[in-house]
Amino acid sequence: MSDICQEQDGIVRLVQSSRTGDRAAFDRLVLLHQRQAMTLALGMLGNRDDAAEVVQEALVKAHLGLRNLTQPERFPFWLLKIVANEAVSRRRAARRRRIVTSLFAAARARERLERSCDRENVDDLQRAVERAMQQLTDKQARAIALFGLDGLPQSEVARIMGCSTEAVRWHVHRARQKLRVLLKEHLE
Amino acid sequence: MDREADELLRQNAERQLADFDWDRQRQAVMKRLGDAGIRNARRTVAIRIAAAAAAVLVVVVGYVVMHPLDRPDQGAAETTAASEPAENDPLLASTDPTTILLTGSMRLRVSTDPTLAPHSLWEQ
Repeated sequence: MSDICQEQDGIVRLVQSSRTGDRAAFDRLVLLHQRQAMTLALGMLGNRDDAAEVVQEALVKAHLGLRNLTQPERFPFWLLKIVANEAVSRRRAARRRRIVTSLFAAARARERLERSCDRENVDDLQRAVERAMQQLTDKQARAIALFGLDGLPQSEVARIMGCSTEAVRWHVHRARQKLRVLLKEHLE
Repeated sequence: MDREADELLRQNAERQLADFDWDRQRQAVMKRLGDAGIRNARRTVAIRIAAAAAAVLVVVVGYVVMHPLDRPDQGAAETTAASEPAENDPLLASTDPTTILLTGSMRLRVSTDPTLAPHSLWEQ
């Protein structure tokens, strides 16, 4: 318990120092939370490059918005919320891109060719997970990544998502159901 | 069974992040923040310069509007023009009717004298 309090004190101090323009303090905050942020983004997007861009964007936004953070001790959850929002924006943009490319067969063929060249070394599991995550709704992806991957308690996931714990449970349940079907080959 | 999918996602994440360059990402974030800081500082300096220039302009325009007659050249010319007597004006001193300024009332008089030049018909 005292460890958690000490950790929270440390985070509060780092957030306060970052607010006054201390770059080293923010660098330390990034060091402490970038792994969790990357895991969340990767869970929602299934692709490391996209996840890295999303986390970078989220960290810059977090730094610019530090003054608006009323409870510095909640910085980790606040950061995860920004990451999740950025990841949702990225998913929507990708969906729009997919719709446009499906309208133009030539563009689609070209994209397929580029993909096959870019990802020669990408293994099957990675590709399957990426495709499966695209099939989930934004809420399902957010819920399964925060709860299943980042391991946050349901109450915290509900707070980040702005819904009830029952809704979180439902989104996680539906996400698992879909993933079981979509990733059947890899689960056997 | 319920958590198999979670486990698979976790495996995938761990595998993809195994060789991820965390330092590079951190440096990229700090670089972006540094660039944003420089941009903000430049914007602040530009705003301050513009505000100072605007203040100087307002003061100068205000001074000119409030003190328009203090300019020495313009005052001297006006004084000279007001003090010059009317007889010094060559136009006013002329007897030639074609050059006399048409000021005051005029009357047309019929003459029977054939020696008078046509212009003598005019009497001011």
